[in-house]
Amino acid sequence: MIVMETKNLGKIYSFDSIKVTALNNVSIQINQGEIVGIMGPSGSGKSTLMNLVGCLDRPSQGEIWIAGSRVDNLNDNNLAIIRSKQVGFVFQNYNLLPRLKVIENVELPLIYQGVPSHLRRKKADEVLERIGLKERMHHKPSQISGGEQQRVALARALVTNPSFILADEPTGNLDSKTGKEIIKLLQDLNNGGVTVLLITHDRFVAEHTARVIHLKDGEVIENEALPNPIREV
Amino acid sequence: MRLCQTQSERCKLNISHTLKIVISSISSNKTRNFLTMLGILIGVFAIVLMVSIGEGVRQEVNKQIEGLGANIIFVTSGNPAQRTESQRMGPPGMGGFMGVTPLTNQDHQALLTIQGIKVSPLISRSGILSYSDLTDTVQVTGTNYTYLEIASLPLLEGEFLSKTDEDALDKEAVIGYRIYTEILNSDALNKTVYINDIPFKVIGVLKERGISMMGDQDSEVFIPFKVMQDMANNENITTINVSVDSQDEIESVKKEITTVLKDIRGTENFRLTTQSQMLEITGTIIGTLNLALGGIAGVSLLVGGIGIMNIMLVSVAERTREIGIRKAVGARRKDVLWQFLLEAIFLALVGGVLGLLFAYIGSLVLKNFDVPSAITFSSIVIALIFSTIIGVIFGVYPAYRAASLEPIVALRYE
Repeated sequence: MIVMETKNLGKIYSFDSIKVTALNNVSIQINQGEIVGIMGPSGSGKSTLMNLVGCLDRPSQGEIWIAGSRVDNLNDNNLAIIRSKQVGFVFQNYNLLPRLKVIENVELPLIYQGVPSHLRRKKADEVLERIGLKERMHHKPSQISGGEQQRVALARALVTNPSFILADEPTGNLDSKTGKEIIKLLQDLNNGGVTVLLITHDRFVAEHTARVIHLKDGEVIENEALPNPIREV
Repeated sequence: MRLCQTQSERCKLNISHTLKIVISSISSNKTRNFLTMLGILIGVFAIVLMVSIGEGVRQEVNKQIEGLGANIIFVTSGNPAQRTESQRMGPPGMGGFMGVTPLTNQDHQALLTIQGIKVSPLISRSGILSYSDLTDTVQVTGTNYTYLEIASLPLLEGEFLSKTDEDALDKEAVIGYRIYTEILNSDALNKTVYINDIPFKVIGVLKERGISMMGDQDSEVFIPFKVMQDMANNENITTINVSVDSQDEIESVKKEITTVLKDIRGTENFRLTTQSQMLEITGTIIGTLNLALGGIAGVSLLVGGIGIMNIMLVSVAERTREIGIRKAVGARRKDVLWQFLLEAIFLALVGGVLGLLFAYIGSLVLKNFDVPSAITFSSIVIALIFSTIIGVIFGVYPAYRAASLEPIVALRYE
């Protein structure tokens, strides 16, 4: 089953009279339960692609389909609902709210879904348990390590049970050992059925996925299947 | 896939979560937010205190007017409608000085012919009272025996002017409480005091009456009005007080007085004023005064509101990234709007409540200094509603700015 699909997706940024094509004619499909890497050098359009499929931005042309519905033409309110229910974001710099405790950060997406507080706490509890951070739930982000913060961000992405996880350079701010731990966690989650889209410029990170979509100058240049991805243990 | 949430879900704004965010955000910038609240605090404090002083003055004045008696008609000379252009320059009631035909003994005598009313003439001037080596400026009022009853004067000792008008020619005086204690050392009966160098025998002392809008009632001296006229060398009367038995008779008596006085004076160059008219006039004056005071204080509230808007704009700028994160995890425009709007309302409302508290303390302090003030329920409600409205008005724009941020722009913000 296709979880996410783009059809002839394009994005043009206009600065005064100058137009820059960031993405051109990108058509990709992500299937349920896949772990896919999106790879390319800086300026290849991978961040633009992530913003579009994450419903943070609108395309200049083409279509985006998530879980069987077309989403590129939705209004702000409905895009927010898609982000809330279908997409789980993991950012390079974690993007946790510093004033909220770990457990409150994980609960945040559920608040905007209108989930009652006791259910929120229960779900956030379960996800933190799964991620192995239950004992840190009452800490503030500043009181835990970078690797732990990224795991909290992952827990926040998982808590709504989204159609796919969108991880943008999730190891970019981490040392290689902690980075490997995060990749292992993503692989474990994928083994448990979670669809993962991993955006990276790092060949080594991309080789942990089963398929790598290569981007260059805003276009897909290769769709490479990796029969034997690296497995972190 | 379900795009839209159910109505109940969508409407469910998580109040407790939002409040928690608001409180944590406010407490993380204590000094800044306290200073912002201070603007509202001072505004609400000023408005409530000003209005409470106005209200206190209104209550005090009303009490005094009501103390004059509900069934009294005050007759004075001069009628605006009859005045010439030059006479119109002076204030009402000053007819005698402004060339309007003053009331005289003839008018007083004429009014005595009306059945079922009590009439007392009043002539007021300031004078110099001296006793042994003490001298003071006092209010000298010439009147007659009926005034005791009409004005419900409380006697401390001795008697009031008791003789009928024809016989009341002796130089007798009834003195106010302050003159009694401060000039005569609390021993006054049958003592001789000098008013404008003319000797008077003290025949009575009044109890303490306090300050009225006419002045210090305890510095008043009552003497027979004919003696007063002799001193002034004319037969003029400032006011004639007419008392009727019940309020229902006021209109008919006013008509009779008009007929009698018009007959004797030839024209309607006099005025009849009742307590209800005086209440109405002072009510209008104090109402205007209140509005002016409240308006001035309102400006400080406006300034406080601008302070809130300023700090909220700073807050939105500082938390742009937070807004981006919230939007990325599913916050809709209105979720963000409410978060910042509630924060502004919270700041304004807490400032308002504190302002109210300080105004209450201020009003208690003022009462200690004999300044009338009264915090009414309506002023409390108005203060709270006003500060909430200020919060909404000055919070909407920053909140709208926050809500309108594009998630991608907000997330990139450094």
